[in-house]
Amino acid sequence: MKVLKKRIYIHRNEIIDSIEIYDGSRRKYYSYTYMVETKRGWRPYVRWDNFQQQPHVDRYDENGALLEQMNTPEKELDEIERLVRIFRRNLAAMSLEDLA
Amino acid sequence: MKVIIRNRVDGEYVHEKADELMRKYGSLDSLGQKASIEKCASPSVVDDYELLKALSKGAEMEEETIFHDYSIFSVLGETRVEILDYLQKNRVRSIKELASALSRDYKNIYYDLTVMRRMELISMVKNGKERVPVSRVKRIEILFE
Repeated sequence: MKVLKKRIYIHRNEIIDSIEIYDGSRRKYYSYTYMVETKRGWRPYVRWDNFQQQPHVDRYDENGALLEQMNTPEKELDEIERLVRIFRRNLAAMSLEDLA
Repeated sequence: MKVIIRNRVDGEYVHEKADELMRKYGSLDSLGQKASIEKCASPSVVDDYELLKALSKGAEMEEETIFHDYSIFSVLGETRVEILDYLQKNRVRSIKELASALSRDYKNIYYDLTVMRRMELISMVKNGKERVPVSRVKRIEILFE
């Protein structure tokens, strides 16, 4: 088994934190969290993960509390990074369908 | 352009990480329950659970930080690279010892370490009453793409 942790800086105070866990070549778990730094530390905006084999996207409010959730197809980090680079903080205002 | 900072993730680090999670949550089972209940409200708990589950099965680990611009160089200037270089080759017993070894003012070194810790370039390890800086960096690559 292998755990791959990546932190990708989108901007000085915007990151994607990624965790992928592989069993051989099979990816068993992933989470990709777009976060913005505030005075209280890193706060999640949007997160894609497949916990309990249920790929979904979560969106959080300004206090880091879950706002809404939607099932998605399995996601890849490259795809998420492209999406985040285009929309950045505007992700918070987009419909979940566009993030799924 | 891309800068990749690859962290040092040896057996000792993996063991410490697993211990840290066990201390925080008690056991893998209790963490699993917490993750199932709080999965939406607390995403970091879910990551911690999956991480601890993998580490307890002997998983290897890789960690890297990626920058697609020059911003890392505003953090990683000459004096901070010197700190990293020194910490790669030497174990220090205190921040004071590090400041003395590099002929730097304690206050300045302390500030540099704070910034570097925030960027996860170093970690502060508890050693008795002292917090000891340890480099987390194994390799820094600059790719011109």
